[in-house]
Amino acid sequence: MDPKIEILIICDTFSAKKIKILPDSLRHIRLILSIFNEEIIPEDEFGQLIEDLTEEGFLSKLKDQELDITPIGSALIKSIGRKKIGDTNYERLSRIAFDYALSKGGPEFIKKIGERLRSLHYEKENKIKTVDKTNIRALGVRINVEHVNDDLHVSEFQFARNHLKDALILNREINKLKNNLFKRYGIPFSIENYENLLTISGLTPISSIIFFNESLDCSNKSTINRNKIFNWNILIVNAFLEKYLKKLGFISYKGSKKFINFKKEYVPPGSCGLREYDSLKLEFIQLNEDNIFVFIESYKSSIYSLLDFINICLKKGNSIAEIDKKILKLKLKANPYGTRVDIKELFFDKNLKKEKIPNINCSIFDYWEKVYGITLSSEIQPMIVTQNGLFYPSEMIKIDYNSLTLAYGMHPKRRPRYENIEERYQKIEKLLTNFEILHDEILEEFFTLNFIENSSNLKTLIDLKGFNDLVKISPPILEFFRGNLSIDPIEVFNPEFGAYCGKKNLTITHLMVPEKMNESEIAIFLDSIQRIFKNSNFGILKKAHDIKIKKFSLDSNASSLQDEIRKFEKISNHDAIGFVVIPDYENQYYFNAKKLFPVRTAIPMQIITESTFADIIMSKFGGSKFLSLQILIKTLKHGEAIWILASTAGLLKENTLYVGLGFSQQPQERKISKCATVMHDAHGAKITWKVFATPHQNRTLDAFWFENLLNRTYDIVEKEKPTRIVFYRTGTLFPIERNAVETALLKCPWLNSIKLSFVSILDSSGFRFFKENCKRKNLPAGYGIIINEKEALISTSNYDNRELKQGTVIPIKVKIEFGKDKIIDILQEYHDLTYLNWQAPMTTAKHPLVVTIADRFAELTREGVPTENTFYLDL
Amino acid sequence: MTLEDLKSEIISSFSTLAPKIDPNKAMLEFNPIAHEVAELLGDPLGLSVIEYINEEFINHRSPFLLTDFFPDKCDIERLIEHFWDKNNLKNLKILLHLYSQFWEKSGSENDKPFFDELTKFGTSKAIISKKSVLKVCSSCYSEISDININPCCQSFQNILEVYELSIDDMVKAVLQYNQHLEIYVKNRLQKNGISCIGWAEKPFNKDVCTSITYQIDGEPVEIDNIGVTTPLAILLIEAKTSKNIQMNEFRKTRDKFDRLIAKINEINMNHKFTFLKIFITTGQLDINLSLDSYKRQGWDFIDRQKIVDIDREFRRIQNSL
Repeated sequence: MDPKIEILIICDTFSAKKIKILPDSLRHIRLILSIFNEEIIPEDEFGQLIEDLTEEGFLSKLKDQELDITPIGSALIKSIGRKKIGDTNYERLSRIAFDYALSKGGPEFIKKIGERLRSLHYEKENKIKTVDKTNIRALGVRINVEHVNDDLHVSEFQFARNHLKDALILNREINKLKNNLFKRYGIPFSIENYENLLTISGLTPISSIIFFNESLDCSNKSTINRNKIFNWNILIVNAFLEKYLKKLGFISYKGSKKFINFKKEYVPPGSCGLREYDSLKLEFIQLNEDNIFVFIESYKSSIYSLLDFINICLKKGNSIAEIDKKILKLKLKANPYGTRVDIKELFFDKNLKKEKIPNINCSIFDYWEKVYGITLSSEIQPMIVTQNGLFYPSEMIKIDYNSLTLAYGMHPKRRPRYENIEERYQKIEKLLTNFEILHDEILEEFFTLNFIENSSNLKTLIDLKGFNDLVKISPPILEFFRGNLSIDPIEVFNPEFGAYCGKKNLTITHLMVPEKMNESEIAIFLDSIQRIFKNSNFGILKKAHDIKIKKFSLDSNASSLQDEIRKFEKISNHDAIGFVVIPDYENQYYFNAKKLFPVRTAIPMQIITESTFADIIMSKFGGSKFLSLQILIKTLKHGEAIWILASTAGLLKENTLYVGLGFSQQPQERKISKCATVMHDAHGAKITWKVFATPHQNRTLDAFWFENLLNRTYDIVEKEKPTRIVFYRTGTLFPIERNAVETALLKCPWLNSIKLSFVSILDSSGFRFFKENCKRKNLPAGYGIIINEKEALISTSNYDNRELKQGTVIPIKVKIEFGKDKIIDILQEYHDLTYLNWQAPMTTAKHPLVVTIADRFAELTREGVPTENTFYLDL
Repeated sequence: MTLEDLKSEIISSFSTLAPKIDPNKAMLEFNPIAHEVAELLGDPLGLSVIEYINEEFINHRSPFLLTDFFPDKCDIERLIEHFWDKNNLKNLKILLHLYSQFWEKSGSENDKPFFDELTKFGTSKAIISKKSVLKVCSSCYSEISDININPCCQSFQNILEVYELSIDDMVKAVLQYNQHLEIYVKNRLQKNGISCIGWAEKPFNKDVCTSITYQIDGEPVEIDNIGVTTPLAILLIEAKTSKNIQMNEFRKTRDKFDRLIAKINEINMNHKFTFLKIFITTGQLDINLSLDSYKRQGWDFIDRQKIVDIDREFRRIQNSL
């Protein structure tokens, strides 16, 4: 920022509004400048700036100590004012100066600015707080490893250089070798390769191995201190837990750190046969002094089995041939390891007690019992033979959900059964009790595992170098209509605050309802919806005199709805909105309306379900305010906001542009996948978005795509003049993507002077924390756990405080993929941006607004909603 | 009586009112620089340019800057940004004055014609000196002495040379006395065959026609221009350069003209001359003035918009007689 330019912008606005710059107003300029820069400008510094500007000829002294902007001062602002501080900042500063002019420098305005400065000062002083680290605990167990020996055996093997050609295949072969050695010796091994030299470190020397189907002999043997082997303790604990959990019935799924207990299944009511299994997810962190902390996340894994699919088909009266044909379209995976299965033959009603597995003198039923401890639910059931000649009971074949949806439009519904902190804590407690009874003679020959405690506190974990720090970030101050401030987003419903964009004057131009709705119901609905919007204080929603009301019949593929929408013509009313009433839980209607209505009418659309419609006309609808908010969001124009951050996100000084990237996940075949990019300034104002096709059918970034994205941001960067850009994306940035981003950046020299950060948002880690203060409760929003210089976890949910109990809060992991920002700064601004949860002011969001919007657009476009329909914020 | 006789009678009548010229204004009436300034009013943007010159270069003493060609606004903005960043105040101020001159205060939506009009004035006799104050490449920002240094500087289009022009003091005098409008009216009356009543006085060998003061019953009354048309009619002309013509100002003119007409009629008892009263202004007339009603009382009005087409207005007036 350039304070001289800022002063001249204020003076120029004053001059345009014929406000004289007398000594009093000069003091007020300092206030305006301070509030704009979010820091108090010292009097002497300000005085010097005024003196300089006068000496340089941009301000002139008139009689009675009056100052005025000179023609060249004014020309400076007109020519480069916007460019120097950016469009949004220019408008923000001009608005403050304009409001001052409007109030004629009145005491009320000055008082308001003064209060704002005080709250800003308080916010800065208290943004980061230290907390009692013993009250915050991690959900899992702390284990200490006692080693018998400090040295490990190292065996080296040379393999053919041609295997270096494909790193992926080589890596797979190394993992295969690791598993084989574990099976053979019952102890873990660490394997690394340097070019074509394979180094196997472990508790015993290895003389020969099979690698790429070749037998290799050890070329060299030596020893190494165990501390030099990366994550050796984690390897040991992982091996130990795998054995232990298997004894309890938990089998490692796909060889990952997810364990599913197939022994116990639940079929929750209303789940359409979806089976739920007790599951665990482990995540390890290395602590010092041979300590390991294992995060344990207990959850229910839901599986839709082939057996259930066949049974449903039989109930529907499908013939065996028809079922055979149907199954061909499905993607199948075999339990317990999740290996992909291609069916060669399907046999109905096989007695699995009698059916023997070839070469193994054991029935299929007994095999599952004996090897995995799984008792099949029925002896007689369909059985499959795979292309590889393996036999599987249909109960143990899992159907991939997406293939089910794609092939038959079936969406098995599952009402999530969230586990709260206490349940999870008790489950770990139970596991700990059982740990003591486990004895593994092979492992105990080399080390002893001591289970120290259930759910260690953060002080311990920080002391043991598992984490760097724990901080509490204070919530940001939010700005509503006419600069009214609050820390609670819910104030948007309070008439004294209101939406930042001001009141709207909207018109209902279209209404579509199922044909069973009668005229009286329609009339009541229209009256009610207008009243609901008016009562929410967001403005007026009135019925157009020529409102188009269409009825559609309910049919299997929503074709009547589509036909009726196609009869509409585009209208040019920028404040219009249409309503479409659809049957409950009907995706066909939902997405068909989303696909067709906006592009046909050129206006936003609000979908209302039949049950909501009924509640509205019977005056018993409980979500009036939220529905009004939905309508308001849909009618926001580019640059408008529901509320913004009164100070910059994270109170950072940089003029930052936030860019959220969202991809169409699992793009459908033959359809171009889409990407949405959403941007706003450091306050959450001036939101803009673009949705465009990505050249490939995958979810990974490539250089061409990223360059395309950067070029699309060029105009905004030119206008806003950010000094920093932060890209947010959910998911891990793969090395190939990192290279792509770097390549793209090289092609955009106009970004050289701008600090860039790319932050990955990872919300699927198994890390869980809780606060213990008499009771075990979720970690409130704002708790940040610094892992290292590039990674941190942040609790973003205020559900507990709002008494919206939704299980255990999942902390978000943020990772600086590249950029020189400090992780604490990234954490602070991420936290503040989650308060821009426009669509649900009761709660904070998991993601920043830009990411929420980008993901939403990407999701809509994945479902076939055309890019042209994304002209409004359909959250 | 012939027409010439009648004209002589008119002149004789006015001569009885002790016409007096203002020597300063008279000197301007015959000055070629004053004529160049006055004739700008015949150009579409001439009035705006004259007002701008008066306001900026004369009243505010801003430097009068010109360039060889109309510069690109974006180029100037980039140069301003460059010199602001480099804290080069000298060049910055020149560019800011230039920016202000062409894009901020021109008051015209299309800046190029304004530039052309200003250039026309800048090449007139009104300019006494022209010096180069800045020469810079708008591509590489170098202040060039040798154009061979950078290839971009070899392009004529990239070189921005700014000149500062000094205006003759005579222009200041013309604008201060508002003589430009009176001279312009006089020239256009004569061009359209309307003779102007003027009075010869030393050292001028010609008749002075503008801003003549007559004595009516012992009180001085200044008349800006008087014309005599064929068919015979006397045009009494008030030329005003104020921005807004208020009702009171008009009333003063009306009273002044009424007294003069009464006096002339009193002197020429035998002949009733036709008088036409014309109010010419470069400003705006008070919206409360009922123009139609005054037109019925022998008034005609030429306002800001019609100044440029004053010839047509005079022809219209003559045709209406």
